Amino acid sequence: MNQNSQLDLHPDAESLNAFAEQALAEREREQILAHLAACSRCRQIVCLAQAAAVEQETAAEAPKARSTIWPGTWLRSWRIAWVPVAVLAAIVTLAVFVHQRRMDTGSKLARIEPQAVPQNVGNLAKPSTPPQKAETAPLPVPVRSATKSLNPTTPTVASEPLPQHFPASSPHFSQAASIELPNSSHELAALPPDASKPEGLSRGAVVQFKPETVVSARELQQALGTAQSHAAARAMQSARGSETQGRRILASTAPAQQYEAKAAIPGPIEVSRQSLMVGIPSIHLTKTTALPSGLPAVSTAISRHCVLAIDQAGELFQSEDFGGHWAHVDRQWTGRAVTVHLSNKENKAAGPTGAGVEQSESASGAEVISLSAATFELVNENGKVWVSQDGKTWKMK
Amino acid sequence: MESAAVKGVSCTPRALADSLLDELWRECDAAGWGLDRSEFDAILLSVGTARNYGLAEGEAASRQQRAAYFRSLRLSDLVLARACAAGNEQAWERFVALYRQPLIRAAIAITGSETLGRDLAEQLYAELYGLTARAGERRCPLESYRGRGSLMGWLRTTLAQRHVDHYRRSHREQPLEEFDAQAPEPAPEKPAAELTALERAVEEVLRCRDAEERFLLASYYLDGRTLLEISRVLRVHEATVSRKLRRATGGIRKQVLRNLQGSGMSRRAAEEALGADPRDLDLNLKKLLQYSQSDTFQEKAAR
Repeated sequence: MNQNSQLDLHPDAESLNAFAEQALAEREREQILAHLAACSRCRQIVCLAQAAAVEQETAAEAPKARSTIWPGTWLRSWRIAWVPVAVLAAIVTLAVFVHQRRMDTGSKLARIEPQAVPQNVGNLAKPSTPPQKAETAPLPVPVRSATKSLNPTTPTVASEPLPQHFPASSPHFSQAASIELPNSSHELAALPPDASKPEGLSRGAVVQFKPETVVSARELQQALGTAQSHAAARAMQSARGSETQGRRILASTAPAQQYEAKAAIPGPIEVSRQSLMVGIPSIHLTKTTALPSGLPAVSTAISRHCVLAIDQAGELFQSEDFGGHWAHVDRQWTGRAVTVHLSNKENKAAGPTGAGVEQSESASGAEVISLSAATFELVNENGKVWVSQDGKTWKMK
Repeated sequence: MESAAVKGVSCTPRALADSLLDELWRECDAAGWGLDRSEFDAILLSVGTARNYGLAEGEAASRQQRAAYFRSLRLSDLVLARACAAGNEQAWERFVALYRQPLIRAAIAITGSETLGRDLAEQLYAELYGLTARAGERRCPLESYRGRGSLMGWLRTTLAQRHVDHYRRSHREQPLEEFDAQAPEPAPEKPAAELTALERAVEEVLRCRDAEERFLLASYYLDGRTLLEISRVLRVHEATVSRKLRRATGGIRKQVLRNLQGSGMSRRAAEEALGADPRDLDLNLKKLLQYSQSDTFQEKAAR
């Protein structure tokens, strides 16, 4: 059967196409249909042609659909940019919101948390404790003992020389430091570049530098108490990359001016969001805003109940929500107020449990941590002293 | 290839009203393809008389029937095809712009292969351009297009025709080493009387079904086409095809039962016979369906 006879036997392409396109009269359509029912070849031809037609129609409709979605107007051509812009705007909004919330929470100046009092006071001062034992069994340090042992005036403080271990130029410890003591979490303190080992922290105390944290020595002293702060201040001035008995003291490469500026120049209360825990109730210091007068504080005193601050003009402000809101205290003293602090007598009367930590500081950097209820003392420029229990009512001493 | 004459068309007396011819002339813009009015009229008449205006042979077409037939044609495609067949350059440019890429895509879709599709399309394109000649005369397949259905559809069907014919020719060519002589068939056992009656009943029923039902049955059961493919050919919904198939099979079953009962079986025996294993039946459905070809094409084959 040659091709001619095939063409004679089967309907031509035009008839098959006309059948598929419904372009035939009824009589001719019936003829083609009857032929298709009997002829697999023609059925195959019609099916293949129809499949190709459908594929071409589908391919032709796709660009139309695309052009419908993206007409060439300049405004709509930017449509693809709206998505990242919207995402960026959402991120910025979220960041502002989070920052605002942090600022709100940061206005709470301090929060005091009672902490378990460690036992076993004497281990801290024993210089002969093996390093391995010290590492496996952390030395619990009671507050009073720790405070006493870290006080430079206390002769029981063990001050071993701390060997150089970490290079001062280590980027990980380049800017600031943290202090760790047994049974405590890490804490922070800015150290001067020429700091050497602290006497009070030679045993049981670990000083670590953290690049992301900068805290003045004043805060460290606030946390450690007067005796501790003196030791720590000296430690920060002398310590530089030391380690002893598994505990290390690392030096900071921060410029000396940084520390000195923070210690000497009175200004807004400097804060850190991290807590300082040295086996005593931890104090969470947070960032504060300037005083209502707009002037920086030259002296502050923090008790469990309130915070007092004297600005550069000698005005006294009181806050009962740890710096969230400040109230001006009317002048009940003569002259210009210079310093406000807690009474030392009350400190000495504090119990051994370490409950109720209070602290004060002056422009010169002298801080006091009181362990009992507060009695504030205000000193004017002539050296006269006024006392107050609540910070509002003052009586001459 | 400058030629204004249209091959195969002789001047015939006008059988249409001048107003209709004028209207059709304006509609298809034949002048743009280098055809003059007389050539256009000749093309229309040749197309109409070739199919007797869509009527049965020997039946005389009235003026309205002729007008309706011409209005149903794709005259713009027809004029373009005839202008291309006549070698009009502008028409070829238009043809290439409109159909070259779709032709290739259709060929790829039909063959399922980029290489085979491009070969098939280029081969047809060369034929359409008139590179083949018979008896010293250039022949263009576009002359066989008469405007029924779209030119693109005609091209697709022509491509499918070429591909199927090529496949059927080459499919039968098998390497000798793979050819094993079949063992002689065992002598046929005499089938049971019930099975013989069932075979006869099925044959009769299938012969009696109308063309559409047989087409559905053949496409679905023999070719394995899906309902969607069949629905595309018939331009109906899939559900319609499914319904027609269900109706066809149900009707065949009823008719077979009636035929069996007519041959002397009881209803119960007829139903039991219908439950016989189809593999026991010596029925060639393909032959049965092909037996009832349309008379028209059988007549053509006889000629």
